[in-house]
Amino acid sequence: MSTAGAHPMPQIKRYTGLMDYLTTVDHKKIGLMYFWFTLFMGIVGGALAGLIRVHLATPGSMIEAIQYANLHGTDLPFNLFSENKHAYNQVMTMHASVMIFFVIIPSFAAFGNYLAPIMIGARDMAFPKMNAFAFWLLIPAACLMFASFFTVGGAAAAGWTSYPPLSLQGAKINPGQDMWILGVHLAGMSSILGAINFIVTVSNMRAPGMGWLQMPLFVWAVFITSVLQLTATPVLGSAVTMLLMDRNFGTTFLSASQGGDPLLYQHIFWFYSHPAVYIMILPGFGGISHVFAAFSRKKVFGYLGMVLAIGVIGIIGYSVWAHHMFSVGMPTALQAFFMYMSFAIAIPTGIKIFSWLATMWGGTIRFTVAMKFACGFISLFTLGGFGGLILALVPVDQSLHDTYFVVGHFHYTLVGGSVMLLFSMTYYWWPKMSGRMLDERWGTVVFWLMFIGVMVAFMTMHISGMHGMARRIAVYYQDYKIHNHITTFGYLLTFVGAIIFFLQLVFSYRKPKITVNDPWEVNDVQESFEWATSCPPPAYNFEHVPPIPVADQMPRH
Amino acid sequence: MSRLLMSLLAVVALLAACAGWSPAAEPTIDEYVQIFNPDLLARVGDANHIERTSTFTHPESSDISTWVMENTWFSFIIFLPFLILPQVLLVHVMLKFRDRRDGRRPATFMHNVKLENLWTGIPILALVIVAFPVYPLLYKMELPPEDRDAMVVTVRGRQFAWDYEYKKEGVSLGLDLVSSIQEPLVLKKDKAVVLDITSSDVNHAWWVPAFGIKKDAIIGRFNRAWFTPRIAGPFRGQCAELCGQGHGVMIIGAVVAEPDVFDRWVELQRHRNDSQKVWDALIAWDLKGDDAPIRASVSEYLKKSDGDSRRWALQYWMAHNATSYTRRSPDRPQRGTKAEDIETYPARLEEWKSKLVPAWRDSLEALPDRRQRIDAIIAAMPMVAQIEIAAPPVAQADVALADVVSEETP
Repeated sequence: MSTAGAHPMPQIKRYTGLMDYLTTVDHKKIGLMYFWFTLFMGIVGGALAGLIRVHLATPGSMIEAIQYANLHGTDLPFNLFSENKHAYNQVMTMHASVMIFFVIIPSFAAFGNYLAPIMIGARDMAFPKMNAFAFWLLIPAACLMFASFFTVGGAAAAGWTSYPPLSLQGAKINPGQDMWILGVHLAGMSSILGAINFIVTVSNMRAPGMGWLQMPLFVWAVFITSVLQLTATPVLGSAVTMLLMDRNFGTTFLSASQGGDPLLYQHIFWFYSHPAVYIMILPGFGGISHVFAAFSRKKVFGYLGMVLAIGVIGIIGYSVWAHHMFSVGMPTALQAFFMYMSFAIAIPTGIKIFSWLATMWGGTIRFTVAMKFACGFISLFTLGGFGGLILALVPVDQSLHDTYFVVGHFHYTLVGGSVMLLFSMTYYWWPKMSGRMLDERWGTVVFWLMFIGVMVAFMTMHISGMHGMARRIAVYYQDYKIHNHITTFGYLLTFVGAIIFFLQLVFSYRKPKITVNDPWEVNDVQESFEWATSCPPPAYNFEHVPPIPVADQMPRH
Repeated sequence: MSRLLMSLLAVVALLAACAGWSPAAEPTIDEYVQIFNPDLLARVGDANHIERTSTFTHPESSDISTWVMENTWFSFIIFLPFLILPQVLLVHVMLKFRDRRDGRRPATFMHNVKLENLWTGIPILALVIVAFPVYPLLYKMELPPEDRDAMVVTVRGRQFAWDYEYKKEGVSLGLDLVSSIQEPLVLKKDKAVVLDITSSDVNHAWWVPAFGIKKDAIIGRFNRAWFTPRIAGPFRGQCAELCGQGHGVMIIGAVVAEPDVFDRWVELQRHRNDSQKVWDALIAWDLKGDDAPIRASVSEYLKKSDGDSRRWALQYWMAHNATSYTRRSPDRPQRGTKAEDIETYPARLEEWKSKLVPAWRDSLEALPDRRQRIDAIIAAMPMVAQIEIAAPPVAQADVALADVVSEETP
């Protein structure tokens, strides 16, 4: 069945095992490497969160404890950062940086790499070598960031936002911040290369007959996310380059005493980082539509509305960045503008939520683990989005900005949103990616641990924020003790859930391979390419033009 | 419901307070110390624990806080259906359409334009409803207060403390001279206060939650915020922008005082620096030994100017400082990063534990005695001269806000 006769392939040396993965340019293997990399980083980032949570739940973290130590001349037991609150800031900064740059953003690249070419009936990505390069850039980026813990002065400690002038302090003495900047540069480069690859692939390599509006929603989401990445990430690069130059080469972009402006950085940074919020959720929005459709045995409701909603979110996402900065003292009219734009972005999000519910409406719903996560996602993400609407109101944002309310809000959208989406997509597509089913009973345990954990941990954060607990503090007023204990309990639930999930994936390799192409019986109702090939798909996916008719997503009138 | 209960409770408390209140009773020195020098770190359950920590629980604390909360609850009510509806629909769909293996065929509809228009249109409507009242409120918060006679305070953040400068009153505050704990900003009840917030190093944010405002302190620019405190009492807050290692302990306090009490406080500030020398002598004084040095410092203090109010101020500051003195032991040694610092750290820690802290604790016991003795010394001092220190010139400060207001008001 070889096509070598028609198109003679160059003879290249084939490796097996580890060397195969080190040298591969196959999008599926790269996708899997992305997957395991982000999973590992997720455990590391979760462990860093654990350090934060354990610290905040112990008596040593209260201002009361400072008094105690001062009055009695003794230390409180079991206090992680009592000697060095700088270490707390380092851990907090690295938790955020790892979770954003090495877990959530690349994990969607994992699914995009694996699934997008198959879904459009392509044999590989447009630039396979660039694809591999984009992945391998992440390793030195992560190494740089983690190595900075062992430098003089430790890792970056100015928060993942790294606002100057704080991030300019310690220039030329403490290299941690510089290593963070370079790590962000490399991760950003990886992101940009990946984005170019997706855009070119999706634009040019769709199977014959597949127009733009016949593309599956996940491909649409990956495409729009890639456009966002391509246009926004260089802006982040410029912001951190200014930081790097100010720190090391004597420029004064951000130094107020010499004519620069520290606020400049905040604007440029959020001009990237607000679209980045959508980079972190949009691919999941696309992917989850497949899960809802598959397990309701229906087709996606309102395909065009869904595509438009993703597009509109992408566009409006560029004009809401300053809602992260309502307290910096902007002109009032500007604040009003950003407030209204932030309101506006709730509308396409609402369209998506209602369309998913309509997709389920009238179906015959099977509650597999993937479907449970998808339903849990709707519940949690609505709550997170609701907090976002409250935060968009400038008057009350003056009270809530930089409190635990904000922390609770974005953890609802990132853990209750993105991570629930990722788990759902994993349970759904893991049979395709590895050829093994995941255990449904353990999966249900993971779901309930995650769902209840998120609810407990992050709802309590909302409450402590409303009671006036500022974020990023290593010590707090004793009033918030009970909140922090509950949050830490919720964290433990989610972390146990994540560990079980990890072990489930590892041990799934001991199971026998499945022999059917379509274990969820998806293609009884839909026509999708990925369920029409074997599990996992063979090298180069399809030997011929894909064997099923192109999915008619968009009914023609 | 809880609002109603709380207001009822407030009325009862007010009646109870009125019953025991008589206009002639001037607070004692210790009561003034209670008011002006609250324990910002008091624990939950302590008598002087600060209760009003949030605009959500105490929106009556300032006018801005009240407006903001009214607006927020209004918006909340409008938004609430969009939180509840998806959750209810989700549960409904999950229960009604689950696969019961009864051979029911799934529906095949894929779109419904009417429905889609509906769930686009209704949220837009809700957002428009919310958008209208929030706009004037935003402008009200951002423009200067209508009260042209407002207090103006320059707030300057630094790692890790706040410096306050009262323009008209000519008062400066910062860290407590004895305890090195942040001093509270003292405000006048029902008097608008304009804060000009800036920083001298990294970004900070000035935030007392109950007042409902938060503004970043950024080097090179002044951010203006204003509010009118409506309740007398202590408030507390916290730096709200990551500013380094001490971010968590960069606390903020505020005390709202009745107008006449506030005037008393301003008067007291004029004697503060002079009284500090007396305090130093007092704390260095070996109680068994000769009281000549302390007498000398008191007479030095009185030589500059004398009078009942100046003597009273000295007594006040001794009481004030004694309170501060109990709040903080000698600083715990830091490990440091240099090799020699790390090497000496155990020894320094041991010295701190075994010598400095016990010595400080012993001296606490002698504090009441010291205060009694100095009160006696002050009373025994002959009157030197009845010269009151003049209030600092206020002319240049007075114009500051009026100018700015006329420039900014459209």
